[in-house]
Amino acid sequence: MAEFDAPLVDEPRVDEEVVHIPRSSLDRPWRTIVWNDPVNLMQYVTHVFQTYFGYSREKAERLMLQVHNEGRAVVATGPREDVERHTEAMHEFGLWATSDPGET
Amino acid sequence: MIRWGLDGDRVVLRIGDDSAAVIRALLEELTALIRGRMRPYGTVLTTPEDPALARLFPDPVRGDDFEAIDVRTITEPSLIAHRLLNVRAVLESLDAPGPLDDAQELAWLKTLTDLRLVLAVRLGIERDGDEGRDGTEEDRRMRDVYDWLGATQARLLDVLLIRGPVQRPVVGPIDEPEPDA
Repeated sequence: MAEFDAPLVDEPRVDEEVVHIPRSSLDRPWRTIVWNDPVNLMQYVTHVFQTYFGYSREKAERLMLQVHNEGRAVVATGPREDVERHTEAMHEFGLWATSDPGET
Repeated sequence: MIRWGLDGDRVVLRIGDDSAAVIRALLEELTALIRGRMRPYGTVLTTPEDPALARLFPDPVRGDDFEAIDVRTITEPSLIAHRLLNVRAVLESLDAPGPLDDAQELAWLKTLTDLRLVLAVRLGIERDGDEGRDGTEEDRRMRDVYDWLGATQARLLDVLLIRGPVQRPVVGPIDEPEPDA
């Protein structure tokens, strides 16, 4: 990801919550994976994770740094239909994301 | 020059004529690129050959080419429509700068990203730290625009961080019961 200086402002507090995707007992959980790219700004990726998934600023930053440092991060898991919807939403934001059937 | 401000919880766009002209020209190119990808309804869609289009519309499923084609065929037309609607929302805000509505605000964020993704491919920026081609005057001009769009988006994100998340009140009851006769 591309880096810009972090803004010198206090971050707004957001309730710690995660997107909860109910799992059907019949479905193996799928995963939305976001991959690192050299274009998207770190603060943009954090913003997307925070606003789209409703993750806390801390969790969104942790995931963004995982993408940046490790090249990829699992940002959502659940039934295939939900995961594919999240992947499409990431594409709307211009993030490089894939749906992945997960570990067998 | 593009400046972002806040009016209450609305992001405010201020933009000079020169900057607006640059953005309009870029959006025209982006629109042509995306429209060029439109196919008749029912066409089976595979990965675009143009790497810029392949970056805007990445393979949606990993490790299963048939599934990727299947999902792409279903989702890509709506992704195309989404991007074109974003372009239209940004153009509307250029015609009447000032406070942005929620759709325009999101459209700016996403469209600045789309423009940078396309320019990065054209410049050969593929990995973190890549500076991109700078051999020609055109390359250097493109690189300046790429950096300018990045700085513009970074300042918009700063403003959004200062504002914090917004919960818009629903105006009036959605399902107002019929008054008793």
